[in-house]
Amino acid sequence: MSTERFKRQSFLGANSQDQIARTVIGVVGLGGGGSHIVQQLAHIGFQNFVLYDDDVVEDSNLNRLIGGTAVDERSMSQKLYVARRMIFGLQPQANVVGVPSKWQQDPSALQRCNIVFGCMETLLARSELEVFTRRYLIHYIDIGMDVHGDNPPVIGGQVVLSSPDGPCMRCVRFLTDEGLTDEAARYGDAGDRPQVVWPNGVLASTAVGIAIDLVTGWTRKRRNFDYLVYDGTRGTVKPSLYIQKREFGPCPHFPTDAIGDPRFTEL
Amino acid sequence: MTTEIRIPRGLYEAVLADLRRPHDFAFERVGFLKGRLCSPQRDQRLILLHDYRPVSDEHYRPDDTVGANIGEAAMSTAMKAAFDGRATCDGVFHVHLHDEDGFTGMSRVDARELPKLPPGFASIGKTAVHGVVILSKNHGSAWEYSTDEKRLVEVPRIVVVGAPLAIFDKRRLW
Repeated sequence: MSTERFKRQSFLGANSQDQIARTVIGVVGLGGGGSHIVQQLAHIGFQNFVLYDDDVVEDSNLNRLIGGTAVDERSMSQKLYVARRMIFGLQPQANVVGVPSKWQQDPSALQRCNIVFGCMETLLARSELEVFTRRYLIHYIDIGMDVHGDNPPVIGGQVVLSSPDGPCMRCVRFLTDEGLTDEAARYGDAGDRPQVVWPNGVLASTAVGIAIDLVTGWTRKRRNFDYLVYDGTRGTVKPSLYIQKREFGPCPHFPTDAIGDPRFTEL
Repeated sequence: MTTEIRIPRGLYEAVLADLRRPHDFAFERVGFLKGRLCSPQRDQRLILLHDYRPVSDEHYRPDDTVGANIGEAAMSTAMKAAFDGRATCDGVFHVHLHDEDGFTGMSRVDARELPKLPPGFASIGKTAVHGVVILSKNHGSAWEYSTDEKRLVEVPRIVVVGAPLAIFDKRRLW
């Protein structure tokens, strides 16, 4: 790999490019958020990717799908194809495993990841992916955005880091039973959620920044959780009020021995 | 089939802290980690380290020829862990520290003595993988006991999962 290419990010640490190149990254969902993330990771120098998406490029994606083109829409390219094209354009030697299905249908490749980005729409999907990553000791970084109301509309979003030895998304009150129940009650009612490119860019960049800190430790913050809230009206990203005011102990939702393959055991 | 061992950073740092405690007469400390074997996926399998059992002070025996000599009581505790781990595929990994920088491997004494341990664990914990982990200040090496080959086989990668994420590849300084 060219050292010239990465000299302006050498402040990340003496061995940072080596660390980056050996880390295995998973991205679940390659739409508005995931496509930003893949592009940035490829620029930074990541070499090992596991990508999941079962969708093809449609006209309604082109307002925000990074790397997507009108030709992709006409030829019904898979979003996986668009992501792979971006990666190989920057990192021709990269190892890319692309899985054209829901991750739950074929989770085997995801196990090999060290960090997984979740770019999905529902709380339930986030919850399921967090359970999986916790079981196999994988860092999970979740991003999502939404638009509420109409007078005027308000853009909100979040980036959450859930690490195996830190508080989970329930501990930081991003996932709650009430939220999951409410979502289940609205099942089939959601319609097309508003999505635009710039909030996804902010959230994806923030998430990638967290991942780089995990891999290189360049900030020395040693954070094992985070819950950052995006306010699209003010253009701010801040730690959620809930985590600002609390010290977190061991996560009660994921005991340390609740790892590995789920098994029935004799009582 | 490649194997990757993962250990949460909190556990990793607790192990290092325990192994660094001086003992009244032993030159170094040893301990045992529990490692859970996951089903193989796409030519890779994971062993997830999730519990640490230090060896009590009184279970060391005076011996000037080795860094640490532990007695039957300590071995019984480790054997019981191998027995108890059958249902959950938890194996037992001997662990000790070479308090130096960079890549570390087995010393001559390690190479002579450590291969004797895992076959005993494997004889009663057949559903799991057992082995040896040797840590340095900023690296580590591990071996799993192959019941087919009846020898220790080096594990290519140990990942310390936390902040920061650390990857210890076989014979590489990290």
